[in-house]
Amino acid sequence: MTESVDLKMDQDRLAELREIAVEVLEIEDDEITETSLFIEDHEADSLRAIEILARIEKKYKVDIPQSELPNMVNLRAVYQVVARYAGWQD
Amino acid sequence: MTTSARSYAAPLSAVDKLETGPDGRTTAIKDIVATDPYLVGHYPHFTIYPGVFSIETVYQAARAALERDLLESSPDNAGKRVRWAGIHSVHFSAPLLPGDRLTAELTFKPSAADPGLIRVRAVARRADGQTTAKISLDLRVGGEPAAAAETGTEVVLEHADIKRILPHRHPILQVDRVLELVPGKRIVATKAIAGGELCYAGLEADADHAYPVSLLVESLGQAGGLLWLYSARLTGQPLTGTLILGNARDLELTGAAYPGDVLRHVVELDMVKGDNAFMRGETWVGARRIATVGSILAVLRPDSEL
Repeated sequence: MTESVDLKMDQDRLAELREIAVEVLEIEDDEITETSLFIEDHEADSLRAIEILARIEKKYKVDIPQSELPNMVNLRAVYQVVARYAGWQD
Repeated sequence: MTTSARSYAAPLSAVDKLETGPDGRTTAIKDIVATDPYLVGHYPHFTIYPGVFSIETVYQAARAALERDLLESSPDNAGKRVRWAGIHSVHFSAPLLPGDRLTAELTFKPSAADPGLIRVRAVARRADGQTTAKISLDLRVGGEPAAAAETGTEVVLEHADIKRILPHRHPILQVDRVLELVPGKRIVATKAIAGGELCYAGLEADADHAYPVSLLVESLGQAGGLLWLYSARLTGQPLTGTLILGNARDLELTGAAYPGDVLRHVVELDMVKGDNAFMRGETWVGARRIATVGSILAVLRPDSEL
């Protein structure tokens, strides 16, 4: 089996993360993709990043250290970080 | 545009120049000067144009442009005023310091369902091109709010105590007293509005004396900041840095406050993440709720980053 990471993404959770990102970044739903970059493509800054993190923590009742922020560059990366801390791997 | 005789209360003249292009795009320019009203207290050690004053700049520009358009469309509109409906969102991305020039580009869009409601979107930039804020306001053409009474409760922090926690000073310190404080959770704080405040200077009897929404938001934000900083101090790990308003979302205005009223803010701390605090709150005058804020983000940043 050579399933890649993105194939394992739970589509419902991905949709929830997308909704959070779209709301915080104040962009339209069709502007964001799994790999579009928050900072370069969507004008995110540190405050928007922290807001995304806070909303995720609240929604999934998970604690993610701020040191993960630089890794959370796009939706796919966010999913992977959250999955790691929320134990979504199974 | 000259702003010598205002028809409404304002903390300062937040627009030096207003231009409207042929495409209907409105541009407001404001030079940041340390001697403007309220800035002396924000902060004594380091002057920053308060985030809420960027909101004030956009509001004053939008109001001037909309009232001018009203009057141009029909002389019958002479008495019609533009008022606050709410703040959809504000997001601050860089500070404005004395010497900076704020340029805000405004666009206007009437609501499809309610043409009297106008969504004003603005991008504010510094002279170096850096975006300082994105602001989205809702204004209403016409409409009128009112006022009510007050009750007494147990005092937790007096004004002098507040100055030991908040860096803000007269005249921008916008919290008078704390009635209730549950560390890490909730604060109830008051601010009495007086006719002698700077924002009422020069207003004639026929002017709108509603307390400026920018100062109302500042006051509510300060109550939240007080809750956050006081709570942090209790844990034995006091926070450092300059307190900044990061963003605000979903502010709904359902009334206004006037001289003689006492604002009562109820703010809850949603979450603290490092040097960032997420809060939500309400502002009451007596038994009437005049404002609800869905989310406010307050942050502490070292002066060296500003």
